[in-house]
Amino acid sequence: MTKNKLISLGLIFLSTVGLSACKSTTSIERVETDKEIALTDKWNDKDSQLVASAMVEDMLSFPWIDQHLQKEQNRPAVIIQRVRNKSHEHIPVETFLNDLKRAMLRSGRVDFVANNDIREDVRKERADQELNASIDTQNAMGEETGADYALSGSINSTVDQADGQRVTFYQVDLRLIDMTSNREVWNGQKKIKKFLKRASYSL
Amino acid sequence: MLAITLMTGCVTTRQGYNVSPTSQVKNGQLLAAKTTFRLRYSDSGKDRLLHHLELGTINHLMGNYTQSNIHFSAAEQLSEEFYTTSISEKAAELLTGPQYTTYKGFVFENTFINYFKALNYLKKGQEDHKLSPTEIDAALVEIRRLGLRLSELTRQTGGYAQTNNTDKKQSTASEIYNLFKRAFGNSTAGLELEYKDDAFAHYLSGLLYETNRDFDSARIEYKKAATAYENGFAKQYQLNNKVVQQAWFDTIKVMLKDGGYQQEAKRLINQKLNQQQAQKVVKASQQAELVIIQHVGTVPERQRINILLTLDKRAKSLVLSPILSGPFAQRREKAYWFQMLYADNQLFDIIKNYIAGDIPAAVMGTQQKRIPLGGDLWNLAEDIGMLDALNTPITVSVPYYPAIKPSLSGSSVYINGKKYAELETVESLSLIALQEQIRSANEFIYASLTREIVKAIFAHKALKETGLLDKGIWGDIAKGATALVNILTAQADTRNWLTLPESIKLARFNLPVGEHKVSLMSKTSDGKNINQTYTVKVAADQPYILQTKTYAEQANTVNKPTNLVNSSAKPTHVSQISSIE
Repeated sequence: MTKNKLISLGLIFLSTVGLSACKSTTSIERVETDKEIALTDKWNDKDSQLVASAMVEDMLSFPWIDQHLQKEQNRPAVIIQRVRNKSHEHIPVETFLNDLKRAMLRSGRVDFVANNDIREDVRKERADQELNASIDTQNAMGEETGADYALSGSINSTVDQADGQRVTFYQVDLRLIDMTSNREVWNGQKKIKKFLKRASYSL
Repeated sequence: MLAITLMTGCVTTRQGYNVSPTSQVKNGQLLAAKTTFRLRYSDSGKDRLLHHLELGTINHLMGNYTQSNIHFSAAEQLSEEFYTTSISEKAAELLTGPQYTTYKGFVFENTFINYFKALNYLKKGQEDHKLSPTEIDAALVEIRRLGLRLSELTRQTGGYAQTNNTDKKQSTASEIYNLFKRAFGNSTAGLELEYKDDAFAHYLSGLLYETNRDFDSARIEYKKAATAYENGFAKQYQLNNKVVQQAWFDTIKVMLKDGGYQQEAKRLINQKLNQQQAQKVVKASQQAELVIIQHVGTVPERQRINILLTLDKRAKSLVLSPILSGPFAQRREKAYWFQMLYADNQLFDIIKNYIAGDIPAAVMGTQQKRIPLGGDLWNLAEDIGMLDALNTPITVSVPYYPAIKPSLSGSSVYINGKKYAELETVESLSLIALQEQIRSANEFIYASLTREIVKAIFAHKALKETGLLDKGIWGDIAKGATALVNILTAQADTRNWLTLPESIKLARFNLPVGEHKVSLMSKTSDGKNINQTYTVKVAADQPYILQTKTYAEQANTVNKPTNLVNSSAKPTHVSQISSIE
């Protein structure tokens, strides 16, 4: 092959790869919600699911529920307080807290009481009922269930990166505090570690 | 030709170039600026990073903090993706030019993505005069991401660590730099100009941690800021020594707030603070505080210089001469830039030209750059067809920054009519941008020369193959056409994030708890006054951060005070300029 032919072939190749850079296609398919599709090493839905399932299992296995039932003869009522995000990612904490709450309620062994914002709305609704609802269907003020335990926690992370490689470590810590005695009756922990490797060059 | 035509076919049509979006921003026409940027930069093309950066800033200026962060998050995602270099795009760049490739941003620009995101959460939270824990947490997420960027940057560059220890192992970057320095004998592109760390970004991190009462993290970040300022950042970017003292002052203050650092705090007070500051710092940890962060102007827009490359067969040299076009001031800037970075104004270059027997070149040195192709280089140039290709002079183009003229000569803050402090420049983005450009100047010209010479060789060979070179007028037309393609495609990449502030000024001082009327009085470089007024409510438990921006264009020509309303603070009164929000 002559040098000139080589040059021409080179030009054709460069034009082709250049044009392929402009190409854009879109495809969408439905996937199972528990299937992991990790596009980056960021916190994703699978992490949230893993945290929720680990925490539910752990929370139900601790003796605090039985001890409460024995002592109080009724189900413990839990209020969800703040879970602080001290990580380097914006993490929607509500997703795994809602999963956790749902699983706990389904177990039939724990009640949850509404948090401050929701309580305010419900109280407004009750006040409205006093004015506008029939007496038979009105809900009385001052009959709310007080929480026995407060759930709070934090999410922390560490990142180590160099030369296109990155190790991300998340740790979610949740704790349950007895609101009468301030005793910590449960402490749950879930750790997640991810390794990302980026190529320096691509076609 | 075919390849070039095909490649340029991908390029987004450049609309919105007749209007200056930065002028629109400075004159308060933010909606118009948004439209101009949308026309100029598509959200899916090669300028998609700029699309998100500019719209992120415009939305920030408009007070649309959530929308602003959507754009900045997209920009951050792109900057992550750009870690991987596309070989096909690099190949395309060789045929066309850097302006037709994806804009990937400068390192310092990427730092400011997280900076603005943190400010957005902060300002969103301040709308009700009190930051909620959720917004502080969200701002701190950005501060942690910023920390990761800075830590990667200092790992690569060595940062501003003390370099007194001569036995200390050099960073990889220093070793590579020294290798090139020996090879090229270049005194301009150096580590001394490199953006190695960002002292102010550390300082802002310290401030936000302090706002969150996380004194350990605040102490660490303030100390990083103080160390970076002291070990070179302040000197490199021409900042007043007061910024170094302020960073140490705050480091010591949070040490005292936190407790447990009495010995170290005492040592630092003796080493770093003057007597007045030493007395003040002890009380400062118990008082309410106001912090003013003023964004000033916008960074300059990059321009281009065209340079003619000719072949001097007699002296066996390549000759580079700047093409000085435009108004007088621009021509002078271009001449200075060429002289400063490329011309043969070093003694070594003059001797080199003299030895080559080229006495006029030794005299013309400041207006030319000669690259002697001595020994084997001349034969090599002949073999690859470079000498034939350069029978017709070719144009190369490199970017440059116009001369930096600070838009403000100073800013002072008055509380309830009494002068409290002068704002100090804590970050000069104009100088960071300029120095990064100077540092990369040689890289740009090497790349530009290589690209245009390769293109000229291909074009010459194609013309020779078709036999056009020997066909009289058709040969001349063909040569003219290839020269035109050269001029059209040899344009330097002049893109940059235009709405970044040219500088950031800061003042912080104690105030009694409660509501205060704050006047920020700024003087433009040409002596006009700008008065911006706010009402702030300072609490005991966290510093109140008032972040604002000032453009010299807002100054009233008859010297009347004007107001710029900051959405993070309650405006006292509103003037015509308040429409900027």
